[in-house]
Amino acid sequence: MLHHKIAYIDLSTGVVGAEPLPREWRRRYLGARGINMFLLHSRYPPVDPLSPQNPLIFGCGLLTGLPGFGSGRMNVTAYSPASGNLGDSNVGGHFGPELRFAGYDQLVVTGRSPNPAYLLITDNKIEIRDASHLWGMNTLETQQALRRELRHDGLRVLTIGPAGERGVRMASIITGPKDAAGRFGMGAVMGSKNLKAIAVKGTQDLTVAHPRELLAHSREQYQALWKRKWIQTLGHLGTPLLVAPANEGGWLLSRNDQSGPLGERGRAIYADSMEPFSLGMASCFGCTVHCRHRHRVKGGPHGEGPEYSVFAWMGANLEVLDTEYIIRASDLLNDYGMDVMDTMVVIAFAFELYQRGIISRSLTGTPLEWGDGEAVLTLIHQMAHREGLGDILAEGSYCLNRLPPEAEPYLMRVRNALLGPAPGGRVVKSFGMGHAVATIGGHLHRNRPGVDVLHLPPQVLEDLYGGSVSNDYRSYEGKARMVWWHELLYAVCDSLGFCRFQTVFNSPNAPQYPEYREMIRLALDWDMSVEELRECGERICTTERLLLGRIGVGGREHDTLPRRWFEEPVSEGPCKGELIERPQFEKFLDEYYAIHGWDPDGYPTPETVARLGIE
Amino acid sequence: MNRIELQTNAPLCTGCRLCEVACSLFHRDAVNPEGARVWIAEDWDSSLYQPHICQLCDDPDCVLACPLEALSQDPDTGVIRVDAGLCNACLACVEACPHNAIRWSEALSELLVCDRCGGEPACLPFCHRGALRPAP
Repeated sequence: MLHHKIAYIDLSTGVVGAEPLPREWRRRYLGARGINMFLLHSRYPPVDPLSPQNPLIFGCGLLTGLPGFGSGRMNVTAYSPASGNLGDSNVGGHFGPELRFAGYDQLVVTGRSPNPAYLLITDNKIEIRDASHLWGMNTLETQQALRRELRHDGLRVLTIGPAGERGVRMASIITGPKDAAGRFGMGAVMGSKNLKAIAVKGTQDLTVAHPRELLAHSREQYQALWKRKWIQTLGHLGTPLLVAPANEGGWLLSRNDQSGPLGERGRAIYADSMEPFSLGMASCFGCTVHCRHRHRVKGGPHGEGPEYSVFAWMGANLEVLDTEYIIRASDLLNDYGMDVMDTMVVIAFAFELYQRGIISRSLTGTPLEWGDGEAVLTLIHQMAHREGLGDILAEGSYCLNRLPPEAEPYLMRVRNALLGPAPGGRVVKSFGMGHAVATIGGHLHRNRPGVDVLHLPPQVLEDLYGGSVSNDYRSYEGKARMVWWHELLYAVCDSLGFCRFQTVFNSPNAPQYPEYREMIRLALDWDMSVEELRECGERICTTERLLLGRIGVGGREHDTLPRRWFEEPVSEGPCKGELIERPQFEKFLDEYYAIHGWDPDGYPTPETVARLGIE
Repeated sequence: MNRIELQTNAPLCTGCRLCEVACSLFHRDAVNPEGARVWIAEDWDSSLYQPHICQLCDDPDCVLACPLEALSQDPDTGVIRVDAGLCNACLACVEACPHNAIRWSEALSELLVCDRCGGEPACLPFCHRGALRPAP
């Protein structure tokens, strides 16, 4: 049967140990995000995120590496130096499956190496090796150097770039040209441990309970999915396809969320603007959708991406309506190992401070005018090298400590985390509410509902969610149920090692619990009911909520949104006048807590904790 | 089994490696790309993913290169047969193959080359992009 080992690596002492991953953990938390959170909650109390005691946990999903619904994924979890609270980042590519082929499902890295180090993982073996010669290299250089040095083209590497080495708080961990454990500063945690990279090559069989049936069943599943229009569109245009509906729907805002959508000007960054640069598509291991562009910029190197997040946060929010700049910035951030969202949010903040005269050219060194792509690239370089204003912005949310107090209202953050994917939460209420309650602050992908922007008949939504949900994305009606429902599903999806884009994210008809159940049966011969799977989702979300409580940010007062969203209506476009109304927001929280079984202050009740059997 | 000609088209390949997954499930009853008889090479410098699979050459270089006659070609199907008992892992066939489509796995002590799964290649239904497809 499948390999299930957890390895503990202490970089301070050099001690490496491994033990079987208990079946009970997997049955209750599945894997990846679920088990990472279980470990953090049950074994590792909150610590300074940049201290050696902070555990950096790498977890594969229960079905990572098997044919399924985008099974190349895994989670990286730790206390976050970006927000100061919970950090968790989901990453695709090929590393997770390779780790399982080497015999490991989970790695827990603690301590701090006295010198730059990397881990070399081969079948059932982990070595700590010197990485002095790799220190300073960008992410792709590091991976290529390790492949050359170890003479293996199939080596898979997770690595930090110069940003992680320098403690840039939004530093990411990269594998391949662009797959990123991007958010919440997991790269800064890795850098604080003097850990440059983890390289893995596994050659062992990932055995399954019913191999012939799994092969036949997955063939049918894939072929059915490839006939779906949403998969064909995503596999052709990539995630930039979301720019057009967001702009025309009125929720793709600009100028650090001060201004309305871009109107006709926005067409410059619609998905078809990738055509001159795209060489075709790329994908993660075992993928159905193939949503990533392979690109080349004239005179520049090849790369992969960029995603909607860069189009939204740089193209729209900074008004850099030039796809070539968007590609160049994306590549640069991947090379340095920096999260695109945090970086762009803090740069937009700096632009607004400049616009308002709160910071001046004496600090910025150059004008920060909306739409200036060169200024954005310059700031990225400065942040990665911690120079000038870049050194301040590299502190992420903590940059406020080094700026005038009047800067504070313009930093878009929730739970001290910079606002994550999919802007426009003032307009699309389920997005806004999702940001407010995401267990990793301001990160809508924890629960991104999205289905209510598709103008579906109300009955379709009611059948899907098991209760009334408005199909008007500006309405609050039923959105607590919707956010809750997606939150549980995505917790399960992440913990199985599957991709969000291949579940109910873009379509109500995408695979979800029943399809997951069958894959689990074929792989493991476990008979898990839909209810049991959903309860795993509840258990994971409530465990995360308990963790937030332990950190001190788990109460109702922390479930909030940037002040601007409550006070400044959208200034123009089809959703002019939209904002978050306080009474409806509070009502949403009441409903959302109740449906989770948490008390009115947002804390899980003892009854809920007992029902879910959380330690 | 008839002769099954397969074409590869690197610009269409996305690197999902479902072909490797399907191949290993078929041949090993387990997922293990190390034991797959089709594989994807990545070239990050040119952003290309290149599928490699046996092209059933006439007068195949791999067979000619083998000093121990461990390799032979089926006259009807064109498939390369490996006599594992004779192979001493000298890698002459691997070096001779112009398509980089025969591979020695040190970990598995196995010479790997596509056998067309007895007539219905398991990988083909998993490649909807057309990077791997029957020759017209």
